[in-house]
Amino acid sequence: MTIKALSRRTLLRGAGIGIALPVLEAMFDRRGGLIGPANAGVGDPSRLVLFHWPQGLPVGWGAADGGFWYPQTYGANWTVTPGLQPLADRGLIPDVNVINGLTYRQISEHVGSHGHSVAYMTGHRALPEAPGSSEPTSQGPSVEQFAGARIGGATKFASISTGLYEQGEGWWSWSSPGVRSPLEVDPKLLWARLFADLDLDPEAALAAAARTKSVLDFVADDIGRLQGQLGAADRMRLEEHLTTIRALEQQVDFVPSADCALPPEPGAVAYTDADCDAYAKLMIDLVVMALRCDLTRVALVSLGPSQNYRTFPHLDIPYTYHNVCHSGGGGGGPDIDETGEDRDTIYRKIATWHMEIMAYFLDALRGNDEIGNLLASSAFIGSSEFSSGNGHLEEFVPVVVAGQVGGMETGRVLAFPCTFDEDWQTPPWCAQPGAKSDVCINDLWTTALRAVGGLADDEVFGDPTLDTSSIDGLWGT
Amino acid sequence: MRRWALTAVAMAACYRGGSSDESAAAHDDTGGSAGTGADTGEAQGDGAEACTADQLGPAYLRRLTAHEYRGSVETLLGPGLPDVVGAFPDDPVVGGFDNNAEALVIDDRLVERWRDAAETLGAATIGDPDRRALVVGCEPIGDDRAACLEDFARRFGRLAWRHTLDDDELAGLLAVADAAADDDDPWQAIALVIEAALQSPSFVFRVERGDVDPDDPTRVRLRGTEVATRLSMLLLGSTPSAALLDRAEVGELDDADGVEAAARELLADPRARAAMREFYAQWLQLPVLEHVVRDAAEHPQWSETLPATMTEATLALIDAFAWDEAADVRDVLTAPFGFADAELAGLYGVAAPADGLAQIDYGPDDRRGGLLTEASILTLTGKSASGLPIFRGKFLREALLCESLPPPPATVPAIPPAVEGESDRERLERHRTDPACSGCHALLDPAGFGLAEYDAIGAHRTVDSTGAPIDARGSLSGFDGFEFDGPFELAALLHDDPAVSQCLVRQLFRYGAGRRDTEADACTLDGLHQAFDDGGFSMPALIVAFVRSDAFRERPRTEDGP
Repeated sequence: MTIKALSRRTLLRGAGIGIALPVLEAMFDRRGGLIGPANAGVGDPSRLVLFHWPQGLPVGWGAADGGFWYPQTYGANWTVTPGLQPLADRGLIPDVNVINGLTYRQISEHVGSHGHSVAYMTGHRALPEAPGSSEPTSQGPSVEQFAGARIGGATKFASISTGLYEQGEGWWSWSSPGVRSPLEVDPKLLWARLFADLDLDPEAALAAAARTKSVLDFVADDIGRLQGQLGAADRMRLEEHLTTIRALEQQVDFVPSADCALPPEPGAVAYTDADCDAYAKLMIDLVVMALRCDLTRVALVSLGPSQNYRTFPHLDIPYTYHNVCHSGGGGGGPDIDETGEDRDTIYRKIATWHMEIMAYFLDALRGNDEIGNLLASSAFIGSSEFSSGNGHLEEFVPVVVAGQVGGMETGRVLAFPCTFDEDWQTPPWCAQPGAKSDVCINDLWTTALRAVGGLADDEVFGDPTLDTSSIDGLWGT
Repeated sequence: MRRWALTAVAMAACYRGGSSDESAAAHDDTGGSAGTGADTGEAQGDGAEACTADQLGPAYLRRLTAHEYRGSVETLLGPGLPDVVGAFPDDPVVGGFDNNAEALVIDDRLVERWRDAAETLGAATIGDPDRRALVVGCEPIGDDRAACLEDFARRFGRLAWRHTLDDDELAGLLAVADAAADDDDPWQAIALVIEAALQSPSFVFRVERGDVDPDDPTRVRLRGTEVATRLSMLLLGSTPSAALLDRAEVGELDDADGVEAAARELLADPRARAAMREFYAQWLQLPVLEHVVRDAAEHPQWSETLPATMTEATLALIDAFAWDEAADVRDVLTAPFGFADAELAGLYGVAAPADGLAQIDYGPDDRRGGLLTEASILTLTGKSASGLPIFRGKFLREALLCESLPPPPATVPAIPPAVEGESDRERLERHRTDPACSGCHALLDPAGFGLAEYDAIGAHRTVDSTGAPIDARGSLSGFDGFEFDGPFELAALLHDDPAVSQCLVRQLFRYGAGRRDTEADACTLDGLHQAFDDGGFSMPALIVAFVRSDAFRERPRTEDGP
């Protein structure tokens, strides 16, 4: 990739247009529901980086995967499994911890066929969008939006939520209760949003900032004027508008960091299935540079929705992912039920690619001799909404963590007690077979959020009725 | 009974399994109007004038959809603008429609795109002398500057915000223009007015203040300009014209007759065709076709261009029945003709038209005719080669009968693989012997069998995916006497069943009101169905009844609102 370095002049000019803005408490109210440690991120560049792949792993009931992904041993001396080999190929095993046995059974509410997965990143039970509806909605913001509201106050973008192929069921990002936040899926648009205005000359930048400010001031005033004329429900909708206008005002105040380099503008490429490897890596390149530039300190990259009808030509897989995950789940193209090809073999190939992309992401964050190691200041979590895509199973969600914010001993497998039903097969890697695992994924989000300054030590993320606490052995715990 | 209670009953029945008779209990998805209307004599005649304020249903603050944004800026700034809307995040789809007010939320990214769009449109306007002359009509230069800016802000603001500006509103826009006072380019002030007006909540939301009805303080009557906005957004997909605002502001839209007269004029506007196609396409789930993938090896006739042609062909068929006051729109189900271009005609196995998309009259041997035999519908329901009847049954239930079916349970067992010598139909019949599956599938599969003679891209076939001869006999549980063999008998039964016309009423209502219907809307829906029936089931009759209805022109008063 050719990178055009920002000149010193550009950086100085960036500093020149800084305009101090008040802390935006309304945003915390709306997104976090709690007035937390206001702007804990200011001057303290801790980062939260999330990676998601859809539909888990090729595993059966009880997360029996034939030794494919889940490490069979735990502690520091573990044997890398085939499914995790892509991390080893990039020398990342010493930098990560694998976590076996987290669940979100405690907040699993089945609404439609994917509704319970709303709980995965929001930490709350899904609700039907209307009573009896099969459309799920959330009771809270997703973890990256929550983190953005808490620690994103000093950056141009509070958080960046990106992904591949936004269609079909599976909504990860929620800006506030009931408000789905569409992922940025177009690399050209993502580039334009993040980087297009980094290339102005200083005088033009000043003029543009003043101009933008005058229009945004007008809009904010206009919203306030209108609010006085409407009923409560309408006023709430206008409040959402006002919050977003405040976020735009924050963007005017951007100062890029020293590691920042302008990535090339992506061509107008049609990102088809055949290009999905390049597509995923391009999105990650842009997100990593946004983090390096300090355009944001919170990012999500999702490889797609749950109900996913993409095919994988670059892996010679003509079946849709949904068809691979589910018998009868065609969606067009050849049907694996009918061709008789081995489902597990195909599924494993796709899962391995998902891990390759996660390894690429971690490698890019790690940097090299010339550019800094973002992992040093980050909490990184790579995970999926399910263990078994076929079973839509919220138990044993696969998790890989990395990053040294607060300090963390890595290179280990952490395993929790994980048998919860005598009818189900006990995974061989269970730390204490026979015990019921109660370690909810909210513990993981809470641990990460506390480490990056998004939560005070006495605050928790997600459902407040759960007994949520930090997980020992992660960032600074 | 609250609207949703009945849904829960239907879902429980669906999951409980058992025979088709048991599971075919009530499955109307709101418990609203179905089964009443034409048959019961309860209807209100003209619109729904006897409905109480409680029966008007809620009115939400609606933000513009991408479609409405595009149409509005074209009205404001003329045709040929840069495509700014393509960069907007997709509007969420609820119940098939992308204009559900509660789902149309605002987020950072959308507001950024609105900002970018406004900047692009402002620059495109002042950068093009022809467009500048058309839109601005004066020059903000020298002694004329202040007068020109004020005149422009007044005119543009009125069109964009859909009412005449008050003094505060005008002053706000002119203050923004002041930010360009020192700019070398005098036109920048105009660009700023455009940018500000297009990002204002008065543009991006359809604000409805209304006035309390002096005769009935439980009701709020929408202002004339607000009714004009509803009319123009529904029928033209755009902000109202200056002429329509003029009429509204002198009171011509204050009664049902005035609204009807305006609606009839808008329906005659050429833009109405494209705007109403949004409704028909979304109702019939045609946007799904954009994402359809088919294996070219399995379907040699498949091509990348077919889905768009299929959509156009179906909308042309709808248009043939949807605009004529004398046409019964239900006839779209049984039409002995359709539309195709050469490629689609090849798929259908009929003679290709000479040029482009043209009407094709089908003969009895063509096995084609009516909405259900359209390749679009057959393809978007053709998700699985061996499970076609399931998705086709689902389409009939949801789109044409307005039934709400629960999604498959999370741990849905797979449909068992075929055994030697078993047809697709026999495989599904064996699947339905599993009580865990039969509840829902008894509603779906037998309904879909009627379309078994078409494959997953809508081509006619004589054998199923296993090579077994087609058996297209089916039934629709819950509907007495719905036994049919093949698509034409199925279509004829649907044509005459009031559930279908009631469903179309509800679908139009959901789209037009931008929300799901609730039990409270039963009064309005009954009135609309009666008017639809009285009008010979013509779409103009239904649309006119809808815009005349109290629900279109009024809303209930909320306690916390002014």
